Amino acid sequence: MVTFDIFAQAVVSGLANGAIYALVAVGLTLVFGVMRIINFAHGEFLMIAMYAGYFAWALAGIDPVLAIFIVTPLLMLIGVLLYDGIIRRALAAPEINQMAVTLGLSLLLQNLALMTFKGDNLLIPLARATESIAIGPALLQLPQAIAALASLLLIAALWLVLRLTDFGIMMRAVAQSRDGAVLCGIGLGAVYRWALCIGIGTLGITGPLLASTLYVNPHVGALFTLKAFVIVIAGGLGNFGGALLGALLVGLAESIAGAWFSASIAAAVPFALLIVAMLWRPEGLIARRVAR
Amino acid sequence: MPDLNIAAIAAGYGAADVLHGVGLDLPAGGRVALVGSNGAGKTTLVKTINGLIAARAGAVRWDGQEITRTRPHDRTRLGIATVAEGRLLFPDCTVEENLVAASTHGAAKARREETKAEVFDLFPRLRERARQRAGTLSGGEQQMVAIGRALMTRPRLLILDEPSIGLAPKVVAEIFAVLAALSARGMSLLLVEQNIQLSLRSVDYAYVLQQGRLVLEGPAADLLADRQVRAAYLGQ
Repeated sequence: MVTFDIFAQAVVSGLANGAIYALVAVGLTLVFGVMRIINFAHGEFLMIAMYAGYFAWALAGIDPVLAIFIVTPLLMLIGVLLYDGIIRRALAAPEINQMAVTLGLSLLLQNLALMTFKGDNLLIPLARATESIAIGPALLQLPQAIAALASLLLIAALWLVLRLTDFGIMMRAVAQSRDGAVLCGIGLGAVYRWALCIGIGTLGITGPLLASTLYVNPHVGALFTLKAFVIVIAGGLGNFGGALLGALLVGLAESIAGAWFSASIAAAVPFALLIVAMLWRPEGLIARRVAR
Repeated sequence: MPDLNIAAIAAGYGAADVLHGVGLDLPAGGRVALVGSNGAGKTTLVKTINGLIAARAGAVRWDGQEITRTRPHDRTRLGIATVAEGRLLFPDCTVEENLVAASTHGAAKARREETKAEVFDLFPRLRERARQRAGTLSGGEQQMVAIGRALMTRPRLLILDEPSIGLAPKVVAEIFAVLAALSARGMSLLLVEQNIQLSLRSVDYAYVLQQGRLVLEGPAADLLADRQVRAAYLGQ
């Protein structure tokens, strides 16, 4: 029997998870929207950010909240290197080859992590993990609340940058018409590089914060890639608002299903949602005129 | 010395060439039309000038400098602006954002507000629609955004690919009045049109393209007057 209190708890945890998923999904959808490349290795960069956060704490005693300021620039740099080292060379290739490249990268990174860090589950055991915030009848662990809040703040900041700055307008222009943007004097290379820099860089915030609420292991990223895909596809590829809405829905549905039925059913929920979303609104939850 | 000089251009898509050795000159401040039927290669020639496709042979020179291999966004920054066929607007961006997107570099950025005011003076309707998403505008208004956006790059040459297509005569007249005003200020115009009467009346000199080859060129008034020419090449 699900009481109101359990339900409320499921809603609160679900929304918190959803906010974290949202930031992961927004990075993925930004890269896709601008470059039309599906980055199957997105989750592996989250995994790297989680390890970076873990080792910052384990080796130097740096609190995850502070580690953000080290790990984010690191991830942004990785994004730039990814563009110049790999993606740039695959841009002219057919889509299927691009997918093979990012899928291969995903497997490579997982196995490199397995060799380097072994398969152990690692966690940052923070003292504040025992503290909670009461939201109505529900409780939210402090580290999770911080991660959710940071995600939402960063999404809001990204949205403002995309709306208000030249830089954001250039990204949106490229996403809506490549040739149109080029004829406006916008260099695609620079915009692509920045899109990956930011898309991957956002994981530098999620990673360290997540490492105190979720075990880090070499395969942790794959789970997030899958969920982020569900969210991004359901929300409409390249659509920012759709990704946020999709993420909150997936987080909620997962958590409520977990309370109602079992954890194993909860794990299937995102994919069931994807199928429903595809049948109901194949163009994405928030309909958007297709620019190409 | 022409401002834009195109020599013996061959270009196309996939295995086949669309253009077979096309040459064209445009003097600084000149008005030139490129006419020809559908599929003659007009848009392909436009794309080899703005760089969206690479020429397989021949040369494009601009302002005395060879730009055949110059990347397209750099050609825009050198002063060649294109109002493309199909307009290529950013439909989810507002009118103003479309204008801003075309002024993110160098002098265009420094003079953005000034240029924007000029564009709004040329097309007062765009000032009213500044906050509206470009995709929600009428065809004529979208064409105005496309021209305004091209002007935001502060070009010396404006290439217009089928600017009148699908528009009501009143809107076409409005747009061509603006083009005349721009020309009067010294802007070079390369007008690509299927509407031959209209384009020949708006320019000094014209080239007729047929199946990827130039078959005729001359002062626009002569081409208009010559009945035989009209019958043979201009489909009248």
